[in-house]
Parts: sequence; structure tokens; C-alpha cells
Amino acid sequence: MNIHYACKSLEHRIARRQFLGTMAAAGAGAMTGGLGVFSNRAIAEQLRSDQKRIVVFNMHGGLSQLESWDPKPGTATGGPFRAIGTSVPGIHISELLPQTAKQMHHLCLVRGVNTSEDDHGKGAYLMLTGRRQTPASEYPQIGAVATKALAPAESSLPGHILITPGGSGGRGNDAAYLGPKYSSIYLGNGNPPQNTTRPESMTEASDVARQDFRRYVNERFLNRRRTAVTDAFTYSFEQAHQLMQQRDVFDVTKEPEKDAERYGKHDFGRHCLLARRLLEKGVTFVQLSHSNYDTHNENFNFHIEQLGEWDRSFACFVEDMAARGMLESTLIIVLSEFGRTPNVNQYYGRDHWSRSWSICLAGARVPRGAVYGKTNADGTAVEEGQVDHGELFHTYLEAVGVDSTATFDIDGRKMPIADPAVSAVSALLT
Amino acid sequence: MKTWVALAGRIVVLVALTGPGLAMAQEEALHSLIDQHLTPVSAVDPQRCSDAEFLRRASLDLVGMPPTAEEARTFIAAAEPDKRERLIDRLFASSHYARHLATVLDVMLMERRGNTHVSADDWQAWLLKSVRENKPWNVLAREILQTDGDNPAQRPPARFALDRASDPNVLTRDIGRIFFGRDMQCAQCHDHPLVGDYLQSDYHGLLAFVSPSYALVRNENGAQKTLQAEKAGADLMFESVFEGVKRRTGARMPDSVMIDEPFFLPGDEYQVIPADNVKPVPKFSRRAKLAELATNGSNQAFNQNIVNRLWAHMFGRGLVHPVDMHHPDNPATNPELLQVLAQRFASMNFDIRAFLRELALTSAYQRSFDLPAGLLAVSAQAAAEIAKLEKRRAAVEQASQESSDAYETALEAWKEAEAALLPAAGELDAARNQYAEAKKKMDEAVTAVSEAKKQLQAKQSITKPVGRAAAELEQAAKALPDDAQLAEAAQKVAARSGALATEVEALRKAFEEKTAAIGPSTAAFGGVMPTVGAALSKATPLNEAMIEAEQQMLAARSQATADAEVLAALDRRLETTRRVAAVPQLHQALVAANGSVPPRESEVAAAQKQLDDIAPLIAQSDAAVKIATEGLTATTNMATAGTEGAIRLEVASAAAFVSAAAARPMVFEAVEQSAGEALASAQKSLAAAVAERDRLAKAVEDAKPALAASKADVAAKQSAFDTAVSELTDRWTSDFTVASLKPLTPEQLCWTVFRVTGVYDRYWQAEAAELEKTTPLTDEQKKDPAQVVARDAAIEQRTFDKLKGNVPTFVTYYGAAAGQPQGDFFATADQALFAANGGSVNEWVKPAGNNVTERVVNQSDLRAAADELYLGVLTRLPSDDEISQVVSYLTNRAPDKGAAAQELVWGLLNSAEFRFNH
Repeated sequence: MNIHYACKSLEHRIARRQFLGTMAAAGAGAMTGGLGVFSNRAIAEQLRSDQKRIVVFNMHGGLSQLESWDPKPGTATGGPFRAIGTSVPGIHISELLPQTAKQMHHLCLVRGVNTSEDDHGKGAYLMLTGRRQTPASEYPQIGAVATKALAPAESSLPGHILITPGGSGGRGNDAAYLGPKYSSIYLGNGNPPQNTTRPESMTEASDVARQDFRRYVNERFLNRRRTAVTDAFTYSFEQAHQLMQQRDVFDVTKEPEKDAERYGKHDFGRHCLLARRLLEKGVTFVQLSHSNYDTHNENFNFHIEQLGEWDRSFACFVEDMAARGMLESTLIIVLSEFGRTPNVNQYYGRDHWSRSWSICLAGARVPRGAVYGKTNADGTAVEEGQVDHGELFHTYLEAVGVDSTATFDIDGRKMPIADPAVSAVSALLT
Repeated sequence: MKTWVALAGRIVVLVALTGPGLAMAQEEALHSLIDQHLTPVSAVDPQRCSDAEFLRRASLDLVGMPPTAEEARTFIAAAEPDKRERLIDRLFASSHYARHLATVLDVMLMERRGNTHVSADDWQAWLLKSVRENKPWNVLAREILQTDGDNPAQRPPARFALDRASDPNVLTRDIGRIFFGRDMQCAQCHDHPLVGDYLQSDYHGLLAFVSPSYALVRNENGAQKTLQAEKAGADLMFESVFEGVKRRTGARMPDSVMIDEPFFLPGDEYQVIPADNVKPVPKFSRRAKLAELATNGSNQAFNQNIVNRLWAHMFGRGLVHPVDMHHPDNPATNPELLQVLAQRFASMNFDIRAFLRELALTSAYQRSFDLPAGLLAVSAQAAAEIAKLEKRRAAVEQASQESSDAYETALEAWKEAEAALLPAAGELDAARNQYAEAKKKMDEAVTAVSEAKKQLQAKQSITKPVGRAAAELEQAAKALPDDAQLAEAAQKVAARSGALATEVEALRKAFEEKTAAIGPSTAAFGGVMPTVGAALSKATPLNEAMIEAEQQMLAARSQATADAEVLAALDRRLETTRRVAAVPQLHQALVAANGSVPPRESEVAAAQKQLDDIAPLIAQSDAAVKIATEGLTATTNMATAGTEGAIRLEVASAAAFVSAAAARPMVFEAVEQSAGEALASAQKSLAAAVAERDRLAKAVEDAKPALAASKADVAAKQSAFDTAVSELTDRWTSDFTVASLKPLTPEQLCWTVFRVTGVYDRYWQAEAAELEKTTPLTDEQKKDPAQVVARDAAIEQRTFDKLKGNVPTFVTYYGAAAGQPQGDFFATADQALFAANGGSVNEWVKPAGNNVTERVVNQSDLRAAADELYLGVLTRLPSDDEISQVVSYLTNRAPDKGAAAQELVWGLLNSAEFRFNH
């Protein structure tokens, strides 16, 4: 007697999809199913409101902690700038950040960072992966980890986005063993992802017709054999279609003109506004970078110039995230590959310094209007609350509700989400 | 002694079993042996794939692209019973086989890393040449592991090390993974926390082979050349980050004891001593030793790794999967088969082509990706098999437990022996250092003496002539006493001579002192020699004891591993059998659940009918109440207004009361009373009817949950059944009862798109024509098979060179990151966007050069056009439904048939059936 293996009813299909989805979540395969059950708008919205997000501001080249989060005015190492009061009594930051100072009640400064790595590449690597670079091992960056841990499996938008200052887009190489599914999608100078418009020579009707024919062809094959892998494949086309439909998500000109004015009419202002838009539309992880802080010469002039641009855009971003109630679910990280030397060199520059520097956090479980850690009077050493890249990496993830001590199951390999030798900084989590 | 005889396309190996004089046994062909090992559980009957599926599968696996539509048509129509075997031989003979296998080896060995020191062209050409010559795998591997890249002929294989930046840890990890099937990365810092079998000493033992090698940048006439140079090796120290115990190791092969390395005194290790811009040559090369020990046929891990990888290439997954994670917690699905394959491959002299051919000839390779038919019929066999397997399991489990315990004990003993060696090895290190130090001092003393002697002799050679001159001058001055100038000169020279004599004396003294110093430093050196000797003779027996303990540990480990694998495989088979046995039950439960629905539905329907049936009675009763009410009202009015009013009443029953009342006007009151009673009675009837209706309505409601429960039960049973079948499918995929869906690699995808869109053949023809024009073959040459093959290869190379620039685009979208494992499938929106909107794909599917799109456009018979379309893109004929779909598509779009044909080709090109090799 023959039995019917493939029931073609809709309910069955959904049940099967859910089955496959559960399998994927349990890590039974390297694949996550492309299931399409969340095409239901209400369910998608539901997910979105619960969804946690991360945004990283990468201060490329090495932001000076002394000209930003940990000023030491009036000391030999302090440089020419004053410290100013902020919206939180008792907390002072550099006068180069007047707008950010007004948002201090949302922010948390981490002043005891010690990463002991003064090389640009290695410093960036450890800050973004939470691990020191070791031969023969590659680790995924925070964006890939966050996307795997947080992004709804059914989102049609890419979960991991890098807004690059230039370039034509493409896919990043930052997911290591998590696989290209979690690699970043580059938005070159804030432009939409590649290939999201129909070729000019093709009519919409033609496109619809060929896609319908593709689905028809798939039906026969998938009735014979359907797996998580085939689901992922067929779903990628639906996802592509939805992405094209949602191309506006990447169009920052859809934001009000007055916001564009507020954020600043320069690339970075536009990128910040785009980041706000992407996060609002449900993107899990956005990373922006601002260049360049590698100020071996003329440190002070460069910081006036760079932070002068950065301050307003960043402050607007924080203010808006708070005003829109998104700070509860969004972790903001401002990091660099390292800080800069307390010592001022003969070219009025500061060099690479990783023994005592600062980062800034905001949102999610991170305490508001707080400072954690302390450096000594001239900023040459951490006195209290020392943290390193590994602990920070754990903290970022815990801040958005990810158990950072858990492991990913990658095709039978158990990979700790974060460096198992260290753990999160509990004082940075409320 | 091994003799090779090839018979009728099948390799028969004659092996002398135990020595001369015994009968020679003829071994069974490997493919039938494989099929015996891959018997499905119970009597499950795997389906055989269709000819069209086989054609596409074998073509993709062996030549990396599907056939042309014409080839497909011919093959499908062919009637020879052995057409599949013929096809396999045709594919192996094609110039595309070498290209494809070279690509497969490239991806396997380099994992799409960039080219730094060896160009892609050189590397690919070397691989291609190796495959064309059918270079045995062990030879290929040996060249890769051994070369330093100095000799131009052996420069390309140096890419393996050089383009990993010669990093010893990267090389250790990748040699472990790629040549031995073991990812021991976690064992770098501690014994593997999850994989009991990977010890830190395994990692560092392999690292010790690699760590003396380094990248040497040598200047050659202004140009720089990077070589994988090697220094003399030393023991490696390591400690567990968990235990903090210091340990040391020399070079160890996976599953082997530390190698026996010759002892060299310091300074004596090199044939060519390291120096600036010089490639050193150690007297003992660990790298050469690794290459030798890995590839001499005796290393099981090496042999099993490659057969597993070739198996995975053909079957979509390895017997061990992932292919680089072979350990007891990830055992081979069929350890006996893996062993057989490894042994056979070694005795086939590591002949990749012959091995792949055997795999292609198996029935297992020709299985369909459809699920086996007749599953329900096999439950009885399954039950019997379960009993048998369970019985066997108890014995296997006990053996496994015992060998596992024995391994634990042996491991401890070995660690103890190793700990005992550690101080002695340290002393030997110290003695070697002392020796080096003393030797250095002695050499310095000798050098100092010869230096002093040189100075003394130089001085002496001046002293003599000056002395003679002084004496002669003195006599001259005496002879001419009045010559003041002469006297002065004589005095000066005498003084100079005296000074020189003093200097000579000082130098002589220094020379004597330094000569005297040789004695003590030589004595000191002589004193060290016995120390070294003593340390060596102290360490040697301890080392031997350690090796002995290690030998036992390894033997115990390999027994434990083997037993654990057998147990795991048995468990797997047992579980699969249980699941097969459970299917009929699950199916019956589903059928029963389905069966329980109709009676419940009838119950609901019956109750509903009763409910519906009572409706007229309710209406009737309701009407009766209304009439009675009206009657009563009328009667009351009549009592007031007399009979005239009553006459107007239209209802008979009321009229009766009225007439009675009219007949006896005096008793109006009594009539009124009677009407009241009638109303009460009607109301009572109505209430009864309503109560009955409510009861029936409730009965309907009561019946509904049971129906809903039945339906939910059906859904649950359906889901349980589906889950069971789905899980069974996964198991059947793992044990090769059903074929895997293999995603096309980025390279396969690129060449397949080029083949089916006609791009490839267009270029091929152009290159063939070009060659025919520039260097035509004579008629004589055309009859020479070697010339024909060479010409074919030349055209292939030229076509490849013209089109290879497109491969990186596919790698960018469909490949994993460089240096990561390349086997995992992923599908992303950007791939689909590239396929839908990227310029290239849309360009290739346009009608051109008689490609499939153009043939569809030009074919006026639309049914034939459908055949053309499916044969061209999916290598099969369309079903009737698909034909009518194509016919109607093209009919509706008659005015723009070109665009329509293009859409159809695109649709097939982006289907799951195209994306996977099935």
C-alpha cells in the first residue's frame, strides 16, 4: 500500500513550515527555513515591537578620550579644551561635544577601557568581535552575532547593515563561521542595496510573469522533496521581492526635510538620519563610521573639526531615539579601535593609546546618565572599573537580552557566542 | 606484492594475502562491496533515479556542468541497458573532467583564499596537469606538504602554505582539517572540551611538524621570492589553559607516537646553516617526515579523510559529516564502509579517477531523491530487525564501555610517563645549552690564539729587519764617529728596534696566555660532553617508556574510537529501524483519527436535523398561542361589544367559542374563561416545544466539541506523521537511502548557467574554429586519439580562459567567505536580487546564437518548444501539465514571444530544481 507523504493542504504546509522552523531554531541544521508564515502583517508588527536592536558608531582611527568622554582640563595631558557640564549634574565632558552634553541623561560613559592593543587593525578586530585576534581563528563581528541572535527569521530586510562612507555596496566579510547569511550588507554612502531595481528593459508584467512561472516550476519539484534548504532558497526570492517593495526603507529623502536640517546637511548627518529610519523600520543592526580620528598631527584642530560635525548629528539621533521610545529596545555604542595618548607629541598630535580610554553607551539595559570606571588625574591609567573588549562584548549582548554565555550550534560545532573566559560587566546592566 | 589488472573497465585487484604460496584471492569490485554495506534498514526499497536525473547528476558531479539539450535527448532516448556506465566513462574521458576535479580540489585545499605568492593561473594549471596525469592523491598531497616552493616545477603546490602566510597555527588547523579530517582548533589551548578524542598533544604534535617552517623572503637579483623555508625542529612546550600543567611534545602524526628523531648536538643540525638571504637546510626535515608519514599509505586518518571527501563530493554528504569533524561524537554513519573505502583506495594506489568511477557505478549513487515506496509494508521486517539489533547492541555496548575504560587508564599511564620524562627532557635541554655555551667558549679561545699568533708573527716579521738595520747603523756610526746625523739615526733606529722587541715580547706573552687558556676551555667543553651524554642516557629510557605508554594509549584509543563508532552506527540503525517500524502505527492513528471524524460529523448533522425538524412545531405552537391570544382578546371584546364583533373573527377554532357564546349570550363570561384556558394550554404547548428545541440545540452544541476534538486529533496525527516522515527522510539522507539535494557550488552554478544559456558552447565553437584556422590538424592527426584529446584540451583551456572572469561574481554571491568551510548552503536575498536584476543573468538568457531561448522562439510547434526548454535548462522532458503550461504561456504572449521565451528560461534557471543537483 502506498501512502501519501505530501499533503498539499495549506494547513499542512504551514504546519510543516513551523516544523522546519523549529528544527532550524534548535540548530538541527545549518539552515534556517524560509517559511513565509510571517507575511501576516500583524504578526510582523508584533515581532517588530519586541525586537531589540543595536547601532554602532565607529569612530574610525581612534577617538581621543581626552577630547571627548574623559577630559582632563588643566593637567599636563589635558590639552587646550575645557570640560563642560552636562544634563546630568556632576558629569563633565569635553566642550567639543556641547549638543551631546545635553543628552547625557540618556548616556552611559565607560571610562576604564583597557584593551592593550595599539594596532589599528587588531584594535578594531577586538572591539568588533570581542576577541583578541589569534592565528587560525576568525570570529564574527558584533553585527553578525546580533543579527543571528536577534533578527526575526522572517524579516525581508537585511538584519546587518553597514553604512559605509563610500563604495558601491555589496556584502561584507564579517560573519566568520556564522556564514554569509549574517554578513553585513553595505549601503555605499547610504545608497540602497545593490540590484534592488528592475532592469530598465523589463516591464513589471514581464517580471511578475517570470516569477509566477518560477513558482509554478518549483511546485512540482518541492512536492517530491521539500527541505529547510529548499525552503530557504525559494524564500530568498520572496525576500528579494519584498525588499524591492520596501526599497523606500533605504531612501533617506523620505524623511522630513526639517530632520535633514537638524541632523546636518553632510554625509554623516544623512547617514545618522538613515540609521534612525532603518532601525525604525525593523533593521536589527546598523553600523556607521565617522572618519578620521587618527590624529598623530594636529590632534586638537582635527578633533574640533571632526567632532564639530559629529556632535550635532549624534545628539539629534539620541534625542530622537529617546523621544520615539526606541531607546528601551535599542543599544547605542560609540567605539573606536583605541583611544589616544595622554602625552601630546611634538606635532601637537596624540598617538595610539589603549591602556586607559573610553567608550559611550546608551539604551536597552544600560543605565542612563551614568559613568562607569575612572582614570587617574592625568588619564594615563585606569583607577577604577577597568573593562576590556571581551567584557564589553558580553555586555552589549546582555544589554539587548542575549545570553552571552550561550553557544551557537554551527553545523554540529558548538561556538561560544562570546569569549567564555570573561563575562558581562554587571554594573553596566540594569 | 600488489599486481594490477584492469579487466573490462572494472578494476580487479589481486592481493597476496599472507605471503607467497597462498592462493590469490580475487577481490570483489568496490562498487558492489559498497552496495552490500549500504543495505537500507529492513526491506525499505530505495527508488532508482530516472535516466534524466542520472544524466544531470553524473554530469554535474564529474564534469561540473549539465549536458547540452541534444546530449540529453539522445541519452534519454537511448535503449542500451548499460548506458549509464557508458555515460560515466564518457564523462571521465572528457576534458571537462580534469577541469572540474581541479576546481573541486582547489576549493577543498584553498577554500577560495586569495592568491598572494602563487598566481591563480599557475596553481590551477598545476592542479589541472595533476588531474590529467591522474596523479595519485598521496603524491599530490606529498608535493603540497613537502615543497618549499624554490624549484619552479614545485612552486605551485607551495601555495597551500605560502598563501596561508606560512602561519604555523593556520597550517596546523588546515592540515588537520583538510588532510586528516580533524578540526583540532579547540585543542590548541586545552584538551578538547567537547571532543573527547582530540587532545592538546594531538594539536601540538602536528604543530611541531609545521612550526620549524617559516616564510623566507629571499632577494634574487633584485626580485624577492618568498619560500616556505625550514629550520631544525625543537620540542614544543604547551600547557592547558584549564589545568596549567606544563607539557612538551616532539612531532606526532595523528594517532601515532612521537616520531623518532635523530639527536643532533647544537651546531650540528644543518646541512646549510641559516644565514641572511640563505635558505637553510636542516639535516632532519620534519616537514619531509610529515609528508612521508601522511602519504605512505599507513596513516588511517589520512586515508579515511580523502575517501570521505570524495564520497561527499559524489553523495552530497560524507560518511563523516561535516567532513572535517571526524571524532567519536560525530562518528561515521557507516564506520565499516569508511574503513573498507580507505583500505581499497590505498590499495588502488590512491587513484582518484578509478575511485570516483567505482562510486558512480554503485546503486547507492543512482538512488532517487524521492522517498522509498511501500513503506507501510515493511513494518514486520522492521520489528524482526529491531529484536536482532537490540540483541547485538548489548554486546557492542559492553565492548565499547570496556575499551573506553581501558583508554582512560592508558591515557593516565601515558600522562604519567610523560610527566616522568619532563624533568629529564629539561635536563637534556640544559645540557645541550651548556654544551653549546662551552663549545662557543672553546671555539672562541682557539680563535683568540690564532689571532694572537697572527699578530705576533706580523710583529716579528718587522722586528728582524729593523734589528738588522740598527746593528748595521751602529757599526756605521762607529766607523764615522764625527757624523752626528748618522749617530742620531743609529740611535733612533736602535730605540725603534728596542721598542719593537718590547712589543714582540708583549705579544708573545699574550699568545702564551691565550694558548694556556685553550686548555681550561677545552677541559670545560670536555667536561660538558659527559653531562650531555648523561642527560641523554637519562632521558632516553624515559622517552622510550613514554613512547611505549603512548603506543598503548593510542592502541587503546583507536580501539575505543572504533567501538564507539560501531555502537553509534548500530544505535543509528536501530533508531531508524524503530522509526520505520513506527510509521504504520502513526499512519493507522492518522487513518483512525480520520475515521472518527465522519461519525462525529453525522452526530452533529443528526442533532442538527432534529433541531431543524422541530422548527415547524415551534412555528405551529407559536401560531396557536397567537390565535388563542387573539381569541381571548376577541372574547373579551365580545363580552363588551356583543356578538357582532365576534362574527368578524376569522379563525375557526375561535369561531367555535364565539358561536357557542352567541348561542348562549348569557354565558359570555364562561366563554371568556374558556378562551383563557385555551390560551394557557397553547402557551404550555409552546413552552414545551421551546424547551425541546433548546434541548436539541444544546445537543448540537454538545456534539460539536467532539467533532472539533476529532479534527484536532487528525491535525495532530497528521503532524506527528509528517514529522516522523520528515525525520526519517533526514535519516535516510544521512545513510544514503535517498539522494541528497546538493546545492551547486558557485563554480558549478556559473558554468551551468553558461552551458544552458548556450554561452559556453558559443565560446567553445569560436575557439575551436580559431584553432582550426591557425593550427589545423592534418587528416592524419585527426585519426590520432592523442592528438584529438590534446586538441580538445586546448579548446577547453581557451574557452575556460575566456569565461573564467565571470566565476568571481558567482563566488561573491554564492560562496562562503574565503578561508571558511565552503560546503554549507545559504540563500540570501542579494543572490535572488542578483539573479533577478543583475545585468549578467538577464543578458545571458536573451535569444542568441541558437541558444535555448532562440530555439524556443523559432520553434513553431509549441509542444516541441516546451521539450526544448526543459531539456535545455533542466535536462529532462516536461510533464504533460508543464507542456500545456508552456504552450499557453507562449500562446498568450504570441506578439512578444521573444520576451516570453526569455521569461520561461529565466524561470527554470531560478527554480529549486536548477539550483540543486539532485
